[in-house]
Amino acid sequence: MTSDTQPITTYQNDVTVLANKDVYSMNNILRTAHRFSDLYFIDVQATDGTDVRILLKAKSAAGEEPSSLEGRFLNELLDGKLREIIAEESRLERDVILAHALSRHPVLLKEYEAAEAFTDPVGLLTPDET
Amino acid sequence: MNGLNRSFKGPESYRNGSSYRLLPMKFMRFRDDRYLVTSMGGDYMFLSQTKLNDIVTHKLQQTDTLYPDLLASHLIADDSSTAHLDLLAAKYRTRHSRLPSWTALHMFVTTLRCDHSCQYCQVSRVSEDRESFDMTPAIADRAIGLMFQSPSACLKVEFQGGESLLNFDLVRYIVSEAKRRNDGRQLEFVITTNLANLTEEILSFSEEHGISFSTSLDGPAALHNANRPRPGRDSHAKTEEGIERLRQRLGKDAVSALMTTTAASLDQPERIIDEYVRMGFDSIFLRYISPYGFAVKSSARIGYETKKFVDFFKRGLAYIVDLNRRGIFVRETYTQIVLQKILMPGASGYIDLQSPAGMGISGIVYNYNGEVYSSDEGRMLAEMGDRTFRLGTVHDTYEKLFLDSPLLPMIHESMLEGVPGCTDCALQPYCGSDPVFHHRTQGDFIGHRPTSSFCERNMAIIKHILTLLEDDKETASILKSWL
Repeated sequence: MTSDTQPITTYQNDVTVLANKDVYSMNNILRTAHRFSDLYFIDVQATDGTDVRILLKAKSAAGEEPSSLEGRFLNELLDGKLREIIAEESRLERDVILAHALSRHPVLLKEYEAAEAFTDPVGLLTPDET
Repeated sequence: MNGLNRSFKGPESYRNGSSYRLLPMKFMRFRDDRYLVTSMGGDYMFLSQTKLNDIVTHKLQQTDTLYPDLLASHLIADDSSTAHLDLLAAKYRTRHSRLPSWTALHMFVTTLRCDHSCQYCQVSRVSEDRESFDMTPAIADRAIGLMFQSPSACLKVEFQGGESLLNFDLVRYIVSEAKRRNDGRQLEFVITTNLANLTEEILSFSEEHGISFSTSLDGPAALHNANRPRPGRDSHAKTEEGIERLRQRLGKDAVSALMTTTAASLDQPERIIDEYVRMGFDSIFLRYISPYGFAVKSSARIGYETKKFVDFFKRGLAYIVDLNRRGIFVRETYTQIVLQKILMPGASGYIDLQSPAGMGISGIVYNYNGEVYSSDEGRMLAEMGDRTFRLGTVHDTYEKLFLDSPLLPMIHESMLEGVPGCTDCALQPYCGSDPVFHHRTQGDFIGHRPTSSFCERNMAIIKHILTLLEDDKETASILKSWL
């Protein structure tokens, strides 16, 4: 297909990234792709195999070097993977914190809520044992 | 051992092993190999990529020097008690403590009339003699009634325009009526004015009722007068004279000033700051021009790219820090707001950097004609023909305006916690949601963060302030003295 028939003008520094579905979730791939949507048009397609193909088309001729772009995208995918691990491991605590913070009723330690300001319910004024 | 004091630790604290749990955290690649990591409570740390990987993959040892800092910053937890959850919840709740007591700021547009024709004016103005653009006492009565239905213990009445003092009779009426109907709230009054119409009568009334003033000062006379034309081309002189009279009668702190950055400002931040210092102000707010009202029509002449504003801001902040270094105490207000969000536990009252968005929750606008808007910017858009942020009129009930209007869906939809691009952002605890800006510039309340100038500007400024805190101890010390 020539550029005359393309709905979007493409440049030589377009990049295709392959991401392994067994390693990276679709959620992560889409979040990562969104981050690049300021300078690139993005097409995400599942392949028959284990890969997801991400095509990044530069919006202008002043695009990034392909190797640098590919590396940056892969690093962002890796960051996204770490974020998923953190989110999964801390999900319960996050929910409890939010419930406790935003509820009018004590969710955790009722004595903290009932305590007067100067009763020192968590022992802030008590010296540590050494 | 209660685990809250790091000074003296028991032997168990020095054993090897990794039994900690990850707490909710966000991180972003900051520069080079450095990552910024923030907790739900707004604590932050800079970590290397290797260290971040070690933490997330549970390879970090308790003997690691970073371990206690990670605990104290609520990024990890290592005991079975729920004390850390309580502390983190308390921090989170404190950061959102303004939510249950909405709405504190009530803006009354007393008139759209104005004697200035500023290039960036955010509302349509008309000539001084068109009283059909004045708020009536009947409308003011209804608005005051709505104001007192707010659960907030503190109510701030801000008079806006046009030029609010061109309808001073109504200002006087609202102040007196609000005081008469006060049911025990802490009342505060602020007049936003260009000061060109300040009279002895206004000064006496303000002195009697403890009213403070907010005015515009764009910089030296040439710049100020070019931005803010009025008959006689004497806006700067009128402003300076008004500031002096207010200070003599009401005290030094009775008047504050705001500047708006136009294209003509970009190459002279030092001269603008010097003018504020010369006039005796100890703070200056380096403000971006808003894309509303006449600022849009004049954008080709007075507008600029976000990057140019960020460069202007950084240059101005560097100059202000240098003035402090030389013994001249002056603060940059936006930096101060961001520093409060980074370093202090409390909730910010600054409407544009809140999530949920501050509109309606932190402030509400009663327009001269009785229409109620969720924010001043929403009112400005309406003057351009877009009434998206109109909640109703003063004749509606409080419940209808707040609960059965577009307000809650707009606030809910634009919360950073659910906005693509913001959900993972490490700057989220320090940033905010601006649905009016994104509706105006990108067509919906959420916007597209990778191309949002709001995001570009705030990310650049917040990252710059964090960099100064991290890299430059002397500058960090000066910045912290502003809190």
